[in-house]
Amino acid sequence: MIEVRGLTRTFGGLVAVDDCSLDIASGRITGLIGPNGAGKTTLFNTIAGYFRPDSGTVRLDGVDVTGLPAHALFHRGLMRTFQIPRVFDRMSVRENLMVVPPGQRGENMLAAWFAPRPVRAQDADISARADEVLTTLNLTALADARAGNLSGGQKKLVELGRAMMSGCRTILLDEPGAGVNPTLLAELAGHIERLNRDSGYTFCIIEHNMDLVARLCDRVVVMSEGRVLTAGTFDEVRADPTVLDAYFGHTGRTAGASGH
Amino acid sequence: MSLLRATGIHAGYGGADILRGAELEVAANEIAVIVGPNGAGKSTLMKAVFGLAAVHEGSITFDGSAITNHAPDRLVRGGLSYVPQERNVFASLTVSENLDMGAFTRRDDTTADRERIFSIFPDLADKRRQPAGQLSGGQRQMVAIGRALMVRPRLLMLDEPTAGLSPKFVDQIFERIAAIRDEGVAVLMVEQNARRALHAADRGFVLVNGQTRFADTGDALLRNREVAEAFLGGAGP
Repeated sequence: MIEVRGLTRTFGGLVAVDDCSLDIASGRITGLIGPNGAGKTTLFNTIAGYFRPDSGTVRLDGVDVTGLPAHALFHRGLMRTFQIPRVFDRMSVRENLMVVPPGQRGENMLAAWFAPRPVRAQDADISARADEVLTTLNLTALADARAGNLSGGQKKLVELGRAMMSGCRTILLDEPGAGVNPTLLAELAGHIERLNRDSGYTFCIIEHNMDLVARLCDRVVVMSEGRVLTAGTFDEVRADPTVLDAYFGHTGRTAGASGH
Repeated sequence: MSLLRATGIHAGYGGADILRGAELEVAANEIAVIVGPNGAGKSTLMKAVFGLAAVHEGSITFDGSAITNHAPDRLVRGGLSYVPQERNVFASLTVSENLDMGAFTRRDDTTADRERIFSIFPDLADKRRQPAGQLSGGQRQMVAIGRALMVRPRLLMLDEPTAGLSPKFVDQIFERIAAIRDEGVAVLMVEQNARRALHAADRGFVLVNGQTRFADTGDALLRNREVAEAFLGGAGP
């Protein structure tokens, strides 16, 4: 459970996140929607430790984690993915996944030299797990390709794959759907659902694809101009006239069927 | 008669070719859309047309003349214009300056063109003196399209113009693209918002593994069960 209270983050004179309060319930999938420039990504960055808030608090499972850096939050089980994927271009796709699990034995020089066997065993383990994730994401054929050579959409999948490798149980996904083919996106949604239902993962998803939000999210938080406009089920927020105006525009009535 | 025609294209960026026999055709006054799975080569096909990916086999003609492997600056002078997927505005320049950059190759007065862009995208008119980096995603995309229109192209190429945009902006972008087509500019775009894009399109291409698997009108592709199941996320409503 993430509890955000009165979170504010400014850049010079621009108040990107303005006194935001919201809950991301454990074991649920929470959607975060709103117009471009509403501050959704900044809110993610502030929760996940990439920016320090100017004021306000973030609690993770009851513990105050306000202002902790991203790596510290990662070790507490919270991570985020990026809208524009950040892969290691010159490493293979499999290697990109294998570097994710923290605390690997081979990171210790002494262990690498004097205890090679457990290092190798763990490597084999992690490699096998990476292969499972690659299968899940239809990336097996590209396992040994240089990540820098992937298309934009394929990099998005690697980004999601790394989240799946992390062992983090609370994952903030920043536009997992943008640039992903609709057929594959439907499969991805299935994986997110399964991770949530069968393994109890908590997700918060920024997404503009309303089909995806309607399908996945128990609860949807709407942001506009740095503030939380409203929150509720997808149907509730979609019926809200202020949301219609700020976000859906005149096709709000058909947004569920509009594809992207 | 077709304005742009690409036949038997094999192209890539060094290393193995990404396109292996891609075909494409766009007539004047129409919107053509390329859809397909991730990594199929959609962006590469557009880049091959625009001289940003090396074409090793096949030919591309524009208005009847060969343009295969011509450099982008020459193609811009010839009437093609291209908006890449990311990093497509100068963030530190104002909206007006961005538009002026689009008219870099022109020597005549472009004031009227700038005003025309502001009439197509009224949102931008109020923000003409703001740095493009401060705009929201949807407005940036409008700046990028506006900049591409400043050379008065005959063919406008857009790589995923609606990726990452909120539903309201997606609607607006599709509307404006139709308006641009109606003004006589042919449009070629890559879109993952496939169902929506095919609705807007006069002509569609499904690219798979570097080859054009289906080519038909947008409506016919939407009705095609095989296309719908494999590439559009299931049968339509």
